[in-house]
Amino acid sequence: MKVCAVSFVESTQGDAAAFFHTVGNKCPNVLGIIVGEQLPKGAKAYPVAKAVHIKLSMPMLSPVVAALPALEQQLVAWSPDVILFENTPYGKEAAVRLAVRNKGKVLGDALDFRIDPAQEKVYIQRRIYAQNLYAEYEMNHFPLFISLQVDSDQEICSKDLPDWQVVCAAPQAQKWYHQNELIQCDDSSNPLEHARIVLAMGRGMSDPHARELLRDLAVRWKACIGVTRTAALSGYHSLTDMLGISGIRVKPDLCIVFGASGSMPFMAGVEKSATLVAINQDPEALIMERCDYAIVDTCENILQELAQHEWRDR
Amino acid sequence: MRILVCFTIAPVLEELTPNEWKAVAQNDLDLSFVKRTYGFFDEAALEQGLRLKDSLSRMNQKVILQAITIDAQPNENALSSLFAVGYDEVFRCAIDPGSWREPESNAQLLAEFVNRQKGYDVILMGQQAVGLDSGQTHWMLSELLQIPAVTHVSAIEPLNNEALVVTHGAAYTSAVAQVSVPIILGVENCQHSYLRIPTLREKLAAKSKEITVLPVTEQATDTVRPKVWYQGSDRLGRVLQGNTPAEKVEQLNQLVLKEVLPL
Repeated sequence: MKVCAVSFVESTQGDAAAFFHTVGNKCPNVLGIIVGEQLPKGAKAYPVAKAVHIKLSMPMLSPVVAALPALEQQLVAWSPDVILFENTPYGKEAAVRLAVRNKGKVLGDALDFRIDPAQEKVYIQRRIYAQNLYAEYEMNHFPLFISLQVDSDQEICSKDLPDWQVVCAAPQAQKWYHQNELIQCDDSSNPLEHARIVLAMGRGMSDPHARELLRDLAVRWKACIGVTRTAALSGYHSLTDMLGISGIRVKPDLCIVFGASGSMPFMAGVEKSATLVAINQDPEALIMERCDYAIVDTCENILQELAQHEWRDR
Repeated sequence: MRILVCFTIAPVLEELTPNEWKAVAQNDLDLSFVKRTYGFFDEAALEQGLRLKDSLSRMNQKVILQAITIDAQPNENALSSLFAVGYDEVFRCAIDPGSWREPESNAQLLAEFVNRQKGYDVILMGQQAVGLDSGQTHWMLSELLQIPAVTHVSAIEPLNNEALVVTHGAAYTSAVAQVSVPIILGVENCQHSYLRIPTLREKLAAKSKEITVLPVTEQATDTVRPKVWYQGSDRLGRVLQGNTPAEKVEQLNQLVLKEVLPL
């Protein structure tokens, strides 16, 4: 089976190296395509058989739509059966649009994939029902477009490869896209993404005094504050610091969650914390069995105690 | 301006216990015992539709606001409430109960509906529905209708009858864009994410309005039903015991904080 791997190199997210190594280690003779202004550092060591760089300046309102004609050209030339995209917003969009145009099938947010060339089948794992269940799809409809989540901590092996072939793709806004323009763009990353300590507040933090204590503690501990969707929509903290499937996914050494039930869309945002602590009045709250340590008490009691402890002036 | 909001009525999953999830996974994904309400991003889209109508009305623009859902169940209460809050027409595509829906078939149904209605200026939908969690329908609809789509939208303001200013996340950046109609907008978390509550007077005034049920005859499509399972957390959930908050925090200090927060 012919496999192609595509990455949109974006300013603030994604990990092209981890993506190409994940795909390259599973499949031989992968065609690698990078879409973006420049090749990322170390791109020459990606384990792909052939490499194409579609040079496109970003950001623009729709870099995906602009890149599609050049991408389609490459797919026609190579005619792959399986086309994998890095699971970024651009990668997901490109996978869907190309699947519709090529009458293929598409699956997003894949956690893993396995190709069985003898059976001509591809097995894909992903989560469904707001992250609560795992699902494995057995796919035999091609071309198959997949956007794949990768673990950026994986080991990367080097390999010298020929230079990348550069294909310049001038923005080709299609007629139906032409009148839209970007007025303002902020691509600064949120400090939560790299925080060592995260203090998260949920709906149970309804007491303004408790929220004040948490903010003070965050300053003393040099921690970042995150928030659940319901707490953000209740006005406890900014939506931009929302944790979870539709917000930021953090990887701190320590995350303490105050007053959150532990719904799976939220847990997806904190599940990579090295140590996860939950503070909740309700011993039956789902988060109590999805954390490392749990304290059954009011958030305010615990925050007051944390505030009084001797580490406050470290 | 003609506005269409595509929405779902979805099961409320937050209260399901691990044991219930195990049963759901073994029982052909039967969630019929779970309470249902508007999908959370769809609810935000429904409210944004109303806010857009309000803003355009203040600009003396004529607005037709319609909503459509694809569902086997009537969900009469949820659908009728939409009339009371300001929707002019509500459609339900009555699919077969138990049919396995994929984003492709939903996008196809919606595209056919939009074409039959001779198009809309703005099509709003939630960024992602609860279920397969695909978040793909807006891009598929964009391809099928050849209308641009902007996703992860958090705010919409009309500029005039032909253009909107939308705030949206693009690859985790925040951007403001001026977009022309027709346009598809995938709505995510907004400042106003909950649907407004109708007054008794509004409810009574909407009582005579009827939901339009559209029969659906679909051709067999190549759907793939996955093998499904529940996998619990690897974490131990050790409860720190103590008679006072101080005792509990001291345990936390010994086990975790001492390492992470060196004095």
